[in-house]
Amino acid sequence: MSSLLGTMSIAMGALEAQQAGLQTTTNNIANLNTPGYTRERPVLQEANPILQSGIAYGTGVKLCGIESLRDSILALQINNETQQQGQSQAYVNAMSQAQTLFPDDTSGIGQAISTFFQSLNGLSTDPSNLALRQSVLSAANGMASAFNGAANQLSAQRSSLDQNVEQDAGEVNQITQQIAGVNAKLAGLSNTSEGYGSFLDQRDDLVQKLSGLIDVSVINDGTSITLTTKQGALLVADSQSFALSTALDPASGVQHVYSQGSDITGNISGGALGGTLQARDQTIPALQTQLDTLAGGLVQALNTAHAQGFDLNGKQGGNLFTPVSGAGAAASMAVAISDPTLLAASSDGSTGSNGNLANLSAVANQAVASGMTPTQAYSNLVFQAGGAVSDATSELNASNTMLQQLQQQQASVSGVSLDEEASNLLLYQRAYQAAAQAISTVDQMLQTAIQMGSGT
Amino acid sequence: MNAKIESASVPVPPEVRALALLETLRALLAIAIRAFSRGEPVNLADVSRDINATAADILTLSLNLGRVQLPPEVQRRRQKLLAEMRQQHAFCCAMLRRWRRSILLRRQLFDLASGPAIYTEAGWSCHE
Repeated sequence: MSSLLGTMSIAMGALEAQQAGLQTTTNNIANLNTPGYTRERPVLQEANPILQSGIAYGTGVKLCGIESLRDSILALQINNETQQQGQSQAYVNAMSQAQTLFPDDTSGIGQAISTFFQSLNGLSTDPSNLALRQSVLSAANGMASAFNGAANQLSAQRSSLDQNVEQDAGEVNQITQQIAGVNAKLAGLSNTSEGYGSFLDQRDDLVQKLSGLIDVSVINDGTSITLTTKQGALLVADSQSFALSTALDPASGVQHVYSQGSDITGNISGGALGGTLQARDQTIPALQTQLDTLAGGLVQALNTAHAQGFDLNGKQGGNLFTPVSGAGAAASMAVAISDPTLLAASSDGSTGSNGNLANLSAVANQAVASGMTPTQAYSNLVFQAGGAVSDATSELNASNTMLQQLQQQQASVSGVSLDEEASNLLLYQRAYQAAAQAISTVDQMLQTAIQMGSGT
Repeated sequence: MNAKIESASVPVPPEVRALALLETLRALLAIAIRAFSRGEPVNLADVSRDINATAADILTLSLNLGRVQLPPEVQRRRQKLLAEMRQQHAFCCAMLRRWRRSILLRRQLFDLASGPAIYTEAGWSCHE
């Protein structure tokens, strides 16, 4: 049999439930413009009925918790895309600087090579002219300087990227510590607790930031999350974070990244760290190798041609450039002679002969590096540096576009809709008013019952 | 009317036609990029067909042109168009890869696929 007090209890439960609804709706409205906020809603459930004399009486409503409206698949996609975006952005930034070292216009190495061969042609008109000989040496020095400058700047850029690696690893550690802290807070709360959704939002935000720095895999066990890199290096487990460390690798001379003592440098592929490592360890060294090959090949070919001729003193030509080969050839390229009379322009030892200048000029059309002429080899360098930037820029644009689309989808799931919240507000208000009216009515009925009792 | 017939019968030099086809291809790729950027896959099938047809025309014409020395201005314009289209093509491929990956991920996670589908970057290359 139902009782007035039971009815009062149902109405009180209803008040509590509608109040929770109102609070959730108000919180949603308050966070309308908060970035990363996920819309919440109260989870209401009908309370278990009680059976009395074969009749089931309802016992009101039960507030089971406040749930955040999240799409875990979208979150996963956003994290993956953020990793790609971070990777592409860091790579484009690094390679855009490298690209400027290989211009295809009237400057840089390409122009210096042309100027050198043009100076040889100039000298052929008057091979004993000291001023023209000096201009050949100046052009040779200019060419060597252009190679030195590009090689040194590539090295400097690699060092600068090395610093970025250390900074990025430091940032990763800060974020993983924060995530571990949020995990610890969440472990102490149930999903009905106030602020639970806020902590989830905080953690999602931190994971997204982390994704921008390194490739991350998220393993979610409902409350806590475990984070690893894509290759399995542990970053966060429950409330514990595992810091990355960096140390100078003696073999390569650059900073390597370690996770719990293991070198994971080669396994990092995503995020800013991935992009920086790709530029530092793959693309820039490849450009350096090509530049060295071109410098070494050009020096060798020019020295060989120079040695076939005779200088103004009638002596056999020596090295025009200091012999260089292999790694560091471009950086150490230097003209071996400073005296213009030592330039071996003559093919027979006579001062008026320009025969050997033809041999030197022929190097311009000779395969000196990987089967390519100097100009072709340089054009190849320009193309490779430009292509790397162009492809990465396309990837970056695609990542930006995709992220925008994913975030729009996420907003439709997790974002706050004012229309919906306004309608909810009205709904909870009316339900609250009705529950309050029910309490008032029951109160009056109780008064009547008490008066009836006192009257007898 | 006569003027029209007359102008239509004027033979267009192959290099000019090739350039016009490249411009068409660039415009088609721009439409594809717009569809990708707005997240509207509906138009892509039609545009894709047009792109393929234009690309085939360009290939045929290029084979016919052989080693004809193009005027420097045409060559410059051609190179500029090719560089621009290289970027457009790379963007389309990158977006296509992402959309496919997105669809496959949903399928895998919802277990809608009949069996486990293995995703590989190579398998989804633009040239398949």
